[in-house]
Amino acid sequence: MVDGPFQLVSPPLPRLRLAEAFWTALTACVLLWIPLTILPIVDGLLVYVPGLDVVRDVGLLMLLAALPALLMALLCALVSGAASRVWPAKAALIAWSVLLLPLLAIGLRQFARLLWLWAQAVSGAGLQLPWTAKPVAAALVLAAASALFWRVGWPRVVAWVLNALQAARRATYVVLLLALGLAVLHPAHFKGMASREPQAAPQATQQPGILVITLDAVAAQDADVCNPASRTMPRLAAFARGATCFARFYTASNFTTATTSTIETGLLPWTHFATQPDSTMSANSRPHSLANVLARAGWRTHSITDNLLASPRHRGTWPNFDTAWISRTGLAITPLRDIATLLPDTTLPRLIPACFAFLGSTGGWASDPADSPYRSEAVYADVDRLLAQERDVRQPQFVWAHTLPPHAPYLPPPSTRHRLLPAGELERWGDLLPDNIDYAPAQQALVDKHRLRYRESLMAADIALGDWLDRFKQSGAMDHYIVVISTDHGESFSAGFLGHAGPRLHEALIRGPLVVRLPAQTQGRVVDEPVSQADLAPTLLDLAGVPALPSADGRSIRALLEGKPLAPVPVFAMSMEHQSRFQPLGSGRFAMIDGNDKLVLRLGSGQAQLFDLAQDPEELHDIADSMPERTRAMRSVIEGGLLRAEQRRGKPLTP
Amino acid sequence: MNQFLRRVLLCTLALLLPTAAHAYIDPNAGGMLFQLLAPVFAAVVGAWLFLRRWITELIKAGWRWLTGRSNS
Repeated sequence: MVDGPFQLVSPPLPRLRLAEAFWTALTACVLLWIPLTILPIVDGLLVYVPGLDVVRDVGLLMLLAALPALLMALLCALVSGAASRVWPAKAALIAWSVLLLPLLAIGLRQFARLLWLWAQAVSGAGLQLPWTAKPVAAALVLAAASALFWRVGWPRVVAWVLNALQAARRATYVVLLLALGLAVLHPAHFKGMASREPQAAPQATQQPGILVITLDAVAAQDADVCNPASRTMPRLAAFARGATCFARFYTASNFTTATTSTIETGLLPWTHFATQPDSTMSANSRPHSLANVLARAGWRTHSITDNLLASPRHRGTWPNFDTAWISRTGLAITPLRDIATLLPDTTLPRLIPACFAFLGSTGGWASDPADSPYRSEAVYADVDRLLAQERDVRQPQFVWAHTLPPHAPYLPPPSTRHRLLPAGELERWGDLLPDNIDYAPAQQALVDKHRLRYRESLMAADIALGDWLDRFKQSGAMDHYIVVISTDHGESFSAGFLGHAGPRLHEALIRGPLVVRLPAQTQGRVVDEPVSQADLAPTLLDLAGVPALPSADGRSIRALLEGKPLAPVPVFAMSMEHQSRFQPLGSGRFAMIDGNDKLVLRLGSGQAQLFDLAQDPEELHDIADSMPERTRAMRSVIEGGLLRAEQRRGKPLTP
Repeated sequence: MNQFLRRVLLCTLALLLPTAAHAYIDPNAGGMLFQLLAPVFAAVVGAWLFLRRWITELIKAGWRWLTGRSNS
């Protein structure tokens, strides 16, 4: 006989005991909540994490679930105690309800989400519902739940859930024991938030420090930094007048993880394989690091960012840094995620936010939804704190600060908001289109308004940067540092794409500002030759006078900084988000810029497009068919690079 | 609970969309492994919730048939 769901247990419910409540909550987390969360992302994890590590990390997450389970159990024990005094007959029902009904709601929500994602996956993601579907669905669920409780009765529903969870407890014991065993046999490394202490009795140094400041998602066209009359970043443009400004600086990809990995290693994504937003660098690439070489040469190495994707804690290069701070943001979920980075080799920073995705896109917002939760000033304040902390250290310093602004959400502070787009539109987070989406031509006017708010965000980021540079100069430190100011990638408001990431490689996505000031430099210059993000690490090592990175894809452009000629070479950018690091190179787009020619090769289909950037900066006219020789020649260079990358895969890149 | 209410509940739950996230969407989420594992997981959970007693009785009956004695 098949039991109906509500014929298993009849009231009365047992009195709530702390241990019972704890194991019941933990069973719900371990057997339902966590699997329902992990299943949709498991394929994404296995693209860049070995299967054993994924299992270990999910096990760690299940062990960590003991903490919220304990909190829930304590809360319910308190409720039980209070209810037994006020309403003894219903105390057990109230206490168990406080524990089980939220868990039931979360479980049903996650299960519905799983069903929806599965339907999208098997149907080719063609399912779309109108915006009215969600409130209608919520109302229907509320009505159905009310009917359920009315027909069946609240006590029976609670008893059924309790019985089902308690009956599954042995499975929880087994799963947790396996998780514990794997955590012991395959342990994760720990990286605290405190800076590593300087070495004993360091030598005094005459070498300049290196300061790298990267602002997230700054498009060259919108920043216009090499133009002294820049309207969006006038403070940086003023700084650039006494420095070297690169008018054609190309990023190695179109999102943070890939590009910051290139900045640190001088390797292109086809070698370091940080090719998905959540991925880490491949193990063989991690020692091939600017910070690692500098640290070996006696430098202090520091990273400060409010964007976890830009942190060595995320890339996996954290052992190379004495400091790897995550700056404060206004997002409620951020502290949880940052705590997870104490185990930086794990995927916990990805898994924990996924578990709380049911809070929705605004659920993690702690501050006013009309303001961005990210503030450049928080990062610069941490830089000040770090420099004060290191004041008496006599080793040379390498400091890399990365600020999320002007990255979306485009909600600039009052100081710059409404300078370009009047009040009344795009004022709150909910007014903005989602990040990183395709849009229809009919939406171009709306996207243009987003661009105006973005430019206001650029203005705010410029003010924060300018204020900090002024402080740095007044401190007298400026002339003792090589100062690099740049971005990780661009931002698109054209070609039917808003934001960044994804497969595209048009100029808006891969061209950003680069300003380099050598110590005591006063004379400015503008360089028009294309240079690559992969050139940064080799150049800084060259300037620092320490050994070069042996396998870098970039080269030192020191000559250009010193006003000397340098023979031009092609530069590359690529998007490989569907490419597994465990599979042969077979997908992705690869761009090569050689002078004014730009070839974009799609590896899966073999299609190649050629553009003349001088005549066609918007890349609207593919001239590959009319220039077959040029296309073939550039294509062979890309294919040679791919072959070389494949040959180097998994092999040591450093002696 | 009657069949109608149960169906309404399940259909409406399926309509609850994940909120559009202002963040990176993992391009490899929802892949082949997910498409295979999700129904398996749903079937296991569903069987546990709705057929638990039946499965238990079946196992007990099998045990009795194999050993010729009660396992209670």
